[in-house]
Amino acid sequence: MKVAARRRSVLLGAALLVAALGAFCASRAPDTLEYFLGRSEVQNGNPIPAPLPDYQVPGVEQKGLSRLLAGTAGVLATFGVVTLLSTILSARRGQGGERASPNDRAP
Amino acid sequence: MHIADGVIERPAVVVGTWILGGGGVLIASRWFSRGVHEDRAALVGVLGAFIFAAQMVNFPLLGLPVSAHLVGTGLLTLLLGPAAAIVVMAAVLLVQALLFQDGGVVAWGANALGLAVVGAVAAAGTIRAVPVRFRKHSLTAAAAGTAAVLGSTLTCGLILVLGTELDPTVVLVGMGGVQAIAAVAEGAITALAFSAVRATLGSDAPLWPSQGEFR
Repeated sequence: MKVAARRRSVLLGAALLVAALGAFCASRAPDTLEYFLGRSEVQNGNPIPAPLPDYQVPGVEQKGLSRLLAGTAGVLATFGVVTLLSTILSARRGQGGERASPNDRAP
Repeated sequence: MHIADGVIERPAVVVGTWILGGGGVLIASRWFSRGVHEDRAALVGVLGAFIFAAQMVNFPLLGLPVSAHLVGTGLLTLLLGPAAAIVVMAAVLLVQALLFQDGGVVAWGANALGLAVVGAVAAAGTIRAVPVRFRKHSLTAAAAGTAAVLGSTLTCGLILVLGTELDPTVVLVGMGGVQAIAAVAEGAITALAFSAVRATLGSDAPLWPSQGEFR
């Protein structure tokens, strides 16, 4: 399991690097949907205000740094939320007496 | 391709997409909880984080005035299977909407339906159409990534046609045409990322499908 954990860490590190790439090198052109909708009318439509709107940390002036911080927060938040969700969902199997295949690999 | 809040003007379409998208995610989460191996559960969060990061990297699309980014539904389906792919993508969409205003909160149902549910079903259908011995091939991975984006685009287009005043021809031909190019790019990146992730995780990684597992 140790090896698997180390490999997962490598992948998480890669995710942080990719987010950094996105922070500094991403194209600023609108995506297909924004382009066809006309960008202006879809801004700020969310009823719940987001803490890091448009991948920027409010108050951080430098755009790239702001996006890097927001992206790092997003990678860690996604990791946390999805890990929690998958742990809860996979734990449910044991309790519910759902089919546990004899072919399941031991962890 | 995330639909923002305020774009879909007809409430019936918002409700309908929540029923279909939310229902699809609920069914997928049941399959996920039945089928997932404990050791795969640990991997799921890392892959979700990776997809979130990849979606930040917008690249210019040929000479067009638009950018695209990896969506990753095809990649997740190749690595984890369709049920887990739907759950992970739905969670990524939720984080993006709540923290970054990227895609709507009210429009989450529509985005979950197109990008998660239909994308994963299209990718899984493509993978299953390929003989078993070729399922880990790069071309299969590319086809799965492309199929996922085409399915998502078609769904998104239909939602816009039903839910907005936009000209259906512009949506389906114009947006569809541009997205077809994005779909090919998605396929290429999916194939590269699929080999890279598998090489990183090693041959004994608990990826889909494991023995005795069909979903």
